[in-house]
Amino acid sequence: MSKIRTLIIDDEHLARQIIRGFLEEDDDVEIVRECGDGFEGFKQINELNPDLVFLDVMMPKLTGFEMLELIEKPPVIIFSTAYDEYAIKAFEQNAVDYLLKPYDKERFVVALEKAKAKLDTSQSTLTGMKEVIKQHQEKAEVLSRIAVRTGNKINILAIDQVRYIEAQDDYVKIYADEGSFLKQQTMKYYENHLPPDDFLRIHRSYIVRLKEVARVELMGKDTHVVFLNDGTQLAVSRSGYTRLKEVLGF
Amino acid sequence: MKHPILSGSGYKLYALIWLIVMAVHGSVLYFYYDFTITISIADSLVYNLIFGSIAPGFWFIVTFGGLNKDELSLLGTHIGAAGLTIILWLSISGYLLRMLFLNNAEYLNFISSVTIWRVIIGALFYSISILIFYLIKYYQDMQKRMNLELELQNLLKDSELRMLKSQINPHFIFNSLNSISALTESMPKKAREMVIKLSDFLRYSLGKDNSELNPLDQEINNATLYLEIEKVRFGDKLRFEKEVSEECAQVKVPNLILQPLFENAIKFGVYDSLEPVTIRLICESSDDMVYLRITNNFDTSSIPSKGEGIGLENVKRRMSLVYGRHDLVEIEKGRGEFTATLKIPLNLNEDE
Repeated sequence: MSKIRTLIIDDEHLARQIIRGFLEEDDDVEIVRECGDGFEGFKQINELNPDLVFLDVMMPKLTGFEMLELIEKPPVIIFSTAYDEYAIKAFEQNAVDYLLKPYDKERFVVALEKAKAKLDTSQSTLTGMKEVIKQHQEKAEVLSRIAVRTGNKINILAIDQVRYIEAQDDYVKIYADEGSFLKQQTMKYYENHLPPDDFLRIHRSYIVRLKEVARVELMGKDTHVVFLNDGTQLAVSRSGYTRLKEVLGF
Repeated sequence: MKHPILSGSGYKLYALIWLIVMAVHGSVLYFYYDFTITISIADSLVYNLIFGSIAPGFWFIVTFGGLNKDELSLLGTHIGAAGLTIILWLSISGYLLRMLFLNNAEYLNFISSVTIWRVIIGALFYSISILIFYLIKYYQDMQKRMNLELELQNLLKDSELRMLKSQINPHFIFNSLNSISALTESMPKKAREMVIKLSDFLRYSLGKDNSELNPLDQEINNATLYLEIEKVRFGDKLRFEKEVSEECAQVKVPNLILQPLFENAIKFGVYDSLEPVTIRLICESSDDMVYLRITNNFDTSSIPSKGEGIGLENVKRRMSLVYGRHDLVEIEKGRGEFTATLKIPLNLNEDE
């Protein structure tokens, strides 16, 4: 059997050292690379195509989650972090396990075995995690930036650059000052995580920055259209129109 | 504001007072002026009941009449109100009694002859009512102020507590423990060193009451421990330099006031940068002030993933609570360098 090709992404060398030490005791595993930040991690995952990744959450410039969002076919992920509040999000991203720093060898092996099982069967191993999920409550975290990619290049968009978001099948298209970017994410997610005072869902397919709205016009029989400052027209649904009226107060 | 008679149980006392007044009034008429019992009771009842039902209204003059007015116009208001009350009172009461005892010439005569005394009594009643209402209002205001002050004190205590929480970041502890865990195998001596530093840091940070003032050199020692621990985690990515003059070292500062500033420098400087970050502490003194300046360079291209400034807000709030001034914290952000300056007034320290 070929070895499990493993990548370690953590910005602290001592944290990497622990993972490396534990992994070196397992003959099934081969460490292909270690990276100190999300940009490098993204690059190495695309280049080396590892089977398993140990991933820290809080890293400079690009968090582990943001990095993961940009990868089309993510490898098996084990999170390794001191932040317990991200556990739910980690499992939403299909992580096989979530190691809370500091952890011991035994706990580490449990995670590694889960990863092996998942690699063998390529099935989700959610046993035992529901409990962890129950323990943590999801916080309505407000985004301050969005990581997007064009080819292999990563862009970090500040939220105040985002003008509007459009649904496109399984993707969303984010229109920002720098251009537009496709991202695999749901409208629901952005509806819940964009700053609620600045953005509004006006249609099944559109979330718009309120400051960008130049005017709202009636188009035909009770259909409304939003004109943005640059002349772009966006459809408004009936409930979207109600919300707009409430927020803009016309 | 609560009406002292109409709301609550104040009306009982109020009724009792009028009952006494009525008894005295009736007795005087009956025993001194030799009127019949019927007339004495009727006279007492009519005059006092009518005044008694007008009087609670004076409360509104007391509570609302005093707003935005100078003393002279307030006096005018009261004279006007008293005059109106007395005219109203005497004409209604007089009319009712004259109707009741149409045929009793002696009594009708009496009513006319004592009008001037009734006016004086009315003025007296008015003055006493107003005086009592002012006392009640003063008391209510005082209670309100006391409640407000109590509330403020509680708020203060709460915020102090919250501050204490924000000062020791649990992630910092867990990440440090993780580093120690790594070091135990590779470099046991360094692991022990770090355990001791972490213990000293926690002992100092957990053991101090927030309102206490500490010598600056102690505070700097503690901050140095913190930065040395972070340096084990981040290696060469973190550099720390300090320039503290000797006069500065003994100045007293609110304890742990530097900690949030260093944490910010780490969070927005070191965490979010791929390049080395230098944190610099400079302390200078002038005649009446000590200036504590903490600077760090940061990566201008990075967008912080988390909101800024809770730590800074806490520092500002504490400084203004301790020194009663709002201009003691300055923040400067520009050209890749972040600077927070604390100004510690010196005269306050000498008072102690």
